[in-house]
Amino acid sequence: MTVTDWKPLPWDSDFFGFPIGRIDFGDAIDLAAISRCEREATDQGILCLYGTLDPSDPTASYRLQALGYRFMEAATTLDLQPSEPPIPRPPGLEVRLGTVEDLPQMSGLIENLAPWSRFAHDPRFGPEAARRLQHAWVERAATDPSGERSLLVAEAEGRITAFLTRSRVPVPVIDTIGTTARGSGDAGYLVEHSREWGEGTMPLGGPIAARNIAALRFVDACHYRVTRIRYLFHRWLDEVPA
Amino acid sequence: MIPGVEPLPWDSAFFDIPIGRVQLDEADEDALRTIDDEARQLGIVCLYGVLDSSNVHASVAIQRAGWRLVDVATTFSLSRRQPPIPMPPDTDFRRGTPDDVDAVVAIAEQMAGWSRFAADPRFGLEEAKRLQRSWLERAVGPSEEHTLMVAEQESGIVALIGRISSPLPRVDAVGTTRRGSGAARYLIQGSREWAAPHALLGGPIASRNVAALRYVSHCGYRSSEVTYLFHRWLDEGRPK
Repeated sequence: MTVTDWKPLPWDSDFFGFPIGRIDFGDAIDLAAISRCEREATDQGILCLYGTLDPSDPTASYRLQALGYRFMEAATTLDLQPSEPPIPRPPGLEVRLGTVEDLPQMSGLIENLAPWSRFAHDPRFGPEAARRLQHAWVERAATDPSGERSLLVAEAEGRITAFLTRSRVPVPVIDTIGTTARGSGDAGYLVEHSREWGEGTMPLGGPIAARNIAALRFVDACHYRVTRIRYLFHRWLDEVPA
Repeated sequence: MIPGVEPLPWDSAFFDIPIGRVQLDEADEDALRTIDDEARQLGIVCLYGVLDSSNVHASVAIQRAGWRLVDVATTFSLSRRQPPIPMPPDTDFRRGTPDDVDAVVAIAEQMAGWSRFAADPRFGLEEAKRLQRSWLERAVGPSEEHTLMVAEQESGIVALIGRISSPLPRVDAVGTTRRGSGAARYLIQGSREWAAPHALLGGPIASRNVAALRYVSHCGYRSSEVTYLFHRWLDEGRPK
């Protein structure tokens, strides 16, 4: 079903310092609807539209690019079946909710994730904006008073060796994972620990960039399987389509 | 400095359009202009562009220069340490022959929708299907480099895989009419032995092909390489 609509994104607009919106194309291209959305967005001063496409229609992505939408990422979401075996807890590993006091210690770990962001390779955002966003994302999870978002950390010998962020809304999802101890099983155990947090719903994983081989191999080892792909685009409304 | 444009005689003859290929890693605005000029001098109308995903920072400049992304293609590797895939009952496995083409052409054509040629409206789904049929005919031919393996049950052929031996052993297509039967998976198991001592590669698989991605994961394959593929139509001019 094609449902093309758009909405302004106040949080992103405030964070990046210019007006941003999101357009969702559904699974096919409706030129009249896209034109209407762009006109409305321009009238409201929007400079950049994030576009989300279900790429089931093989030609939809190509036609969007002809309209000036720049392909930024194939975003992969993964699911976990309850029947998958548990991931063992590494000896001596402690798991707890992270707080804002943990963030300075995690700074390098968080920044390592920024190059995988679509914002890093759009020159009008750039690597520095991606780093800033990554920090803000983890901070938001650590400080969310509602508990909808949370930060979980793994500690070994008093040092944080891995973390993940997760959100309950609209469905439980683990959306960021980082570790300084690859192969230790610490990050994998955080995933395991989050099974119960889903309260009967296995948390989804991602989105992960399809080009992020290390992350995809990691979640595969945690028994996650691809369940959904969305193509993400940026459309700068002050640029003439090429 | 990036490598020059390579004309592709087989593709040019098949699609009846002068076609070439170029590696786009590290391509900037100047390099992209040079590529256009070089390709036009060679009379090329369509260029395939290949970008290693580690150079994704170049992708916006590439699109601005009139290139269209047509696939995010993932290649997988099946470690020799993965446990063997069990053999399903009442199934025979053998090499495909020209006599099998009529029986399996529908399976092969099902794959066409995931082709980058189907994603480009200037080629389109029908051309992608024609290419798939050509691939099938080549796989059942005398070449030892491209081969077709089939799984057969009482009802007939229920699964196929395509294999390429060079430069490294790779399964380049998997299809079945009996999902969940284990027949296609066992063809992969047989190919692991064929590939030894190398790990068996699989793909490339389009990133939008969720069913195929789940399938290879289920078989124990792990991602090993991601490539962005672009098409550039030189008769469309260069964006200002």
